Amino acid sequence: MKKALFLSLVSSLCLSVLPASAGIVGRGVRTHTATTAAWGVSVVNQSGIISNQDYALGFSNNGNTSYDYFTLRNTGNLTTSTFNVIVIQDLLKNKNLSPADVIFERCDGTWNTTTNTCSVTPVQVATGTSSAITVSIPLGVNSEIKMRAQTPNNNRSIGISLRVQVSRSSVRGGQVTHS
Amino acid sequence: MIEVKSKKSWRPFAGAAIIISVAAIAGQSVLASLNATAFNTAAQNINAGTLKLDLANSGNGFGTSIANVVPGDVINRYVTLTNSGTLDGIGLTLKTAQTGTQTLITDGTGAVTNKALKLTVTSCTVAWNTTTGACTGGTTATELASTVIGSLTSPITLTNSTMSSGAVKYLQMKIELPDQNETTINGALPANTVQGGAVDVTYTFDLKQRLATVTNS
Repeated sequence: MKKALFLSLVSSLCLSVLPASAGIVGRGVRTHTATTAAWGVSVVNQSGIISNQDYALGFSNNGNTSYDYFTLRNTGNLTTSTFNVIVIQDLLKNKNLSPADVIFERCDGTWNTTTNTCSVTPVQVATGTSSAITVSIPLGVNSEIKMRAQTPNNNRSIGISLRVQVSRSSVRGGQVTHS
Repeated sequence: MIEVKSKKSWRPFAGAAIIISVAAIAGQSVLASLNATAFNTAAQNINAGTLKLDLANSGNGFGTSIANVVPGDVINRYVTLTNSGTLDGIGLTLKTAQTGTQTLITDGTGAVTNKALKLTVTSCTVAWNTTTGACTGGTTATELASTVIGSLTSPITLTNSTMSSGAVKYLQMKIELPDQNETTINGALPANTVQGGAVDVTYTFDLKQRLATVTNS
């Protein structure tokens, strides 16, 4: 007890003789939030499933020709001006198949997957031997480009994957704002 | 038979107390004398000074969040500091505390090359035009050179750090995300990305009281 009282007394003395170094401080405080944008495009298959990895074409037999319908959807929150879809060959799988017989088409209207027609004239954008498909159409947030790949039925087991790459330069540049 | 008398230890103290009491009572009458007293008829008034630092938005200031920043963006926000106390202030400092996406707070090192948010503070002697960023009719001074936001956790003294009572500082808070390249593959953001992040930054300005003085008057 005596020891505790003694220690308390000493601490009080020490505190009382400390120099008044702190003094008065005026303070202004504010919190501010900043968020950053994201850019990206994904392949969405005919069932509406978004693929976040290389998309392997999977053809459905429909008569003499097989088709794979998919879209390229802007899943970021910035409009893209251009982006690339890399066409990747599975060389082992394609040993006895013909990548050149794969045709990629874009429909700026609506695909009819029953009649395999586009409401407007479809545009061929690449073949299976292309190294990449460059899409230079501005694509708004959540907007889609409607695509399909087609190949003769006897070539339907071909191994081709698509990888969508969106670089920094695909979206708007830096801006200076005042407010 | 031997009788043992126990000594009462309190007796000497009691005796001393009685003697002192008697002496005190007697002394008052014996030592009484004339006294003269002087005092100020009007009480001396002593006021302690005050030190108040007001931080107000000018335009959006810190009142509106910054959204959808991309590398290369520069966002200028404007705030006004006022020493509304009665004391002059010295040693104006700024520090920040931040929480959120780490890649926006500190630069990457080694193989990680992300560049974080940076802050530059510039003052203008008159109010900024918060639409154009012009300091028309005034002069500007860099109060804090461009600094990564995560490096401001310790207070940094601003270049012009004195603020007399009533003084106003018009500040431009320039927040920028340095330009940098990132490629998003299949919609999946890359590792250590600066994309899709969020940071809450708390800015703290501190102004100390002027030095204490000794005056004679």
